[in-house]
Amino acid sequence: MKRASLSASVLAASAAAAGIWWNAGAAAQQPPQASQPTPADEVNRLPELPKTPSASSTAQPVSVQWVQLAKPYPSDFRAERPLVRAGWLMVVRADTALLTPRSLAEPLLLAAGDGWTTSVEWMQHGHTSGHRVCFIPWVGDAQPSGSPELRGSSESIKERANLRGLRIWFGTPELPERVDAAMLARERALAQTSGLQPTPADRMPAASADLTLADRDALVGRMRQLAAQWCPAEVEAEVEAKVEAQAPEGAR
Amino acid sequence: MSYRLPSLSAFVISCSAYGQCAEDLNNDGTVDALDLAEVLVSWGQAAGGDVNGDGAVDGTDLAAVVSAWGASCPVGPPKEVKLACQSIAVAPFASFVQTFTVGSAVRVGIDPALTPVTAGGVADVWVVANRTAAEWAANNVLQDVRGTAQAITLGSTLAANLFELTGGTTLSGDGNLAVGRGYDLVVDINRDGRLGAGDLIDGGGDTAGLWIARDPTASGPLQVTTLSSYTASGATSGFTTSRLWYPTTIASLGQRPLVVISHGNGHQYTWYDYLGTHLASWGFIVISHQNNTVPGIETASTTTLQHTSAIIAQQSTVAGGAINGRIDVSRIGWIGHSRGGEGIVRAYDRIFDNTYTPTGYGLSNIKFLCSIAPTDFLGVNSANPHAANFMLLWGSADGDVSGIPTNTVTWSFNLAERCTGFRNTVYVHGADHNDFNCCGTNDFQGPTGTAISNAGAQAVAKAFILAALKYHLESETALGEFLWRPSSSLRPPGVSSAFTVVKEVVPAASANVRTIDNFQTQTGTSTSSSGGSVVSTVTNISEAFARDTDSTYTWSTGNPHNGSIRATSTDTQRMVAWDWSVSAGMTWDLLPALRDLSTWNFVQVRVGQGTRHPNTVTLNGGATFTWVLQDAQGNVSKVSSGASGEAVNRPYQRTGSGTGAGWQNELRTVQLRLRDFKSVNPLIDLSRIASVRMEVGGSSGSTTGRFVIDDLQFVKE
Repeated sequence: MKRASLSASVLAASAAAAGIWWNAGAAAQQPPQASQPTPADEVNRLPELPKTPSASSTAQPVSVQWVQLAKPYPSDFRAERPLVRAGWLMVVRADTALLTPRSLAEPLLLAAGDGWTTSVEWMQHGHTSGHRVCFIPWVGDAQPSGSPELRGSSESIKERANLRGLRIWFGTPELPERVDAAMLARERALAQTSGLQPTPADRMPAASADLTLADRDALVGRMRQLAAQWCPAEVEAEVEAKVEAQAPEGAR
Repeated sequence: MSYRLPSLSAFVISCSAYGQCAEDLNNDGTVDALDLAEVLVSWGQAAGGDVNGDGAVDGTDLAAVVSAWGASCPVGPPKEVKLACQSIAVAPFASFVQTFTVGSAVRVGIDPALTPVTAGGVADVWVVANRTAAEWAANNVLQDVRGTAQAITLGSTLAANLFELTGGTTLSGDGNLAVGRGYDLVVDINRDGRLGAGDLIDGGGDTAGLWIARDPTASGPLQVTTLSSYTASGATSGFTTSRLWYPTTIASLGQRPLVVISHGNGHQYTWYDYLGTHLASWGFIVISHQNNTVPGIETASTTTLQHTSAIIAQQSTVAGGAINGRIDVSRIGWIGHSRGGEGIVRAYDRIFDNTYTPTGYGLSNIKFLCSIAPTDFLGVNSANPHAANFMLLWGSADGDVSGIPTNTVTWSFNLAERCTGFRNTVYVHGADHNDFNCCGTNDFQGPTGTAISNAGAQAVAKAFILAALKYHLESETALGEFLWRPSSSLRPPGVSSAFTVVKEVVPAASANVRTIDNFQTQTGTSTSSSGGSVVSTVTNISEAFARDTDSTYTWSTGNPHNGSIRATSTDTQRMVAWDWSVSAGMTWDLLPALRDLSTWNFVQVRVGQGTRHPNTVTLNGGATFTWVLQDAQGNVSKVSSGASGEAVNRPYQRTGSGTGAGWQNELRTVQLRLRDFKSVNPLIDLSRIASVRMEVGGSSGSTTGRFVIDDLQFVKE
């Protein structure tokens, strides 16, 4: 059991190394097929972590949806724990070597747009399929002295959080709970110097209809639903069943 | 360390009228020909007929016996002595222990140097179901669980007085929820079928002298009910699901301890069925919960804290109320893997620091922490088990939390070294990070043919976690021996004898622990932390932080603590390291106030080989040394470290992180009973020990090598 999923990730890693993961075609979105486990027990099958950030340590959005929350929640992915009221729910595709779970620090998943940079939230790693379900919380452009509190109407917020020139990438390995505004600024600068490019407009998927959810529970439910669709091997059966039963109305 | 605590108060009270004559050497109540024979048999020696205790049997002793000839001499009360033992190949040829696994050969050993008996005399050995001191006082009639007592003919040496128990391999270990069952051993000197004056007993107090343990890797006696999932109220969104295991017959069991399992990053709560089922079959209520490890350790610790509160608060509704009222909140154990392993320590630390107040339980209720291959992101100030009972379980082939010298996050031993409570470590050769769950990535990194696989690693986990839980949460203290005795001495039958399992134990500071040197103070090499002088004839000695400082495991003289990954730059754990290629040693003088060891039971030290050092490479195998005690009168007694059961093993031959083979320095506790020194040389005066020495090279052990050493201690049972 342990070895089968691994082989899938190894295969996916190989595919990624060949550049297949970057292609947005439908075929590339299918989960990789499991290969036979090899007998070479001496080989560590954790793929080596690529250098991050780099020009190629990017993630490609394949699904995008604006989400507004009736009740905010504090983000666990920032040291300041700012309140989150809205954001972009995304599925991104990336090199499985970057997605593979590690006990040590994993590359931060970061996103930046027109005047904002943020630490992206996620739950499933996505290494089994090459897809990660994530949420780009809109907390304002929380610079060191900035207020994380969201202000303005839904439409105006969405406009400020627009995805023009979106960069979504894997940064320096670190625990997300230790990310603060200063670190975000450094990571943005590092990304720029590493030659990391914005996602081309023609590669951005069309956004799904906006979604309004009650709270974080509902958001998590929606993320689990997407995970069951995009990286099913990483969703525990019991959780999947529960999510199916409790999914918010707007998410079905 | 909580060892057995024999209590002879009942005997002292009931037998206080008894006296004893020194001339009545065989303790039969009369000074007669048998005593004269004892003098003659041991003439010129240092045992047996030494009436005046001057270390030699001579004319003075003979005169004393003749002078008292015919005297009626009330014999003493039953004598509490260690009788249960294993035979070993080196002097003193017996190792006195308490715990055996079912089917093992059990021996009774009597050392005439410590317990005078009449050579050639016949006595009966009784194996009696364990009685408390009060029960013995109320009923001294012997009843052998084997049906009949076993007659033995006594010899004049310990080697001649080792008797395998007839039927010992069939003794039951069925203690219901206890892993083992206790027995008391009696040598009925006068063969009257009663425990009385002059007899010998092992287990006369409340604790059994002999403990027969079932295989702790095997399922326990209880059927297990599994609740595949339930929702924990109040837990972080997205991390509310948990799995529950409990004994099916829990309604009849009273309150049971709670065990919480917190998984690692990228792992799932459903991956620990092997452990949940195992522990529940031995009577524990176990949950394994979703763990919020992706953001980091703080969030992971929060989910551990939340889920512990939730199961306590929701016990009336979870599983239809089956466990309602059955959770003993005063006995909680936390087990965490990887980031979860650090998370549980962080959770404990947060309660300790008063930065988090859990509902439904408190710090004193957390009786045990077990971290499996934990990370160390947070360091000494935040990932600190403080005075908790702590166990580290880690595999040498871990390809994730690997122990590489360049990344202190992977130095799992840091957490154990910070603990000031009872701590033990179990380091398993050939186990990788995800061998301890069902389904994680195969991250094995090690030499071909050394992988022990999920099944092997999980057998180790089941055995040692169960033993530690029973030790700390259920007072089954005999199981503690699994935590410190080497595998060759005591091995869970379900753990292959081919496995290398390296174990350390350091007891919490207490009146039962006398630390001679822990290298934390008096940091020069010529003074111990207890203040005595230290003299060494070894080479390249270095007393410093237990920290590899050059980012590689390649040996270099500029990095004398190469291979030590037990102290980050903010930790303060210190050790000593030295090498030898000729006869040499390190001698610790004991301050006068520390010299009386007559009531102490063990000497122990943590010692490991210095990885990739040229001497270690040359030795290419286990290392041995000789313990040397010297008393104030100059009497010397030497016992090989091999009497503990195993040599100090060669480091796991993993490559990488520089040239050569050998991973981090593996320390193990080497422990000897002090009575062994008396057995080897009866003249040694344990009430006036002037020095203790570790002697190497020549005839004292391995001809060459390099040791890393910490915590030279004397401890009581």
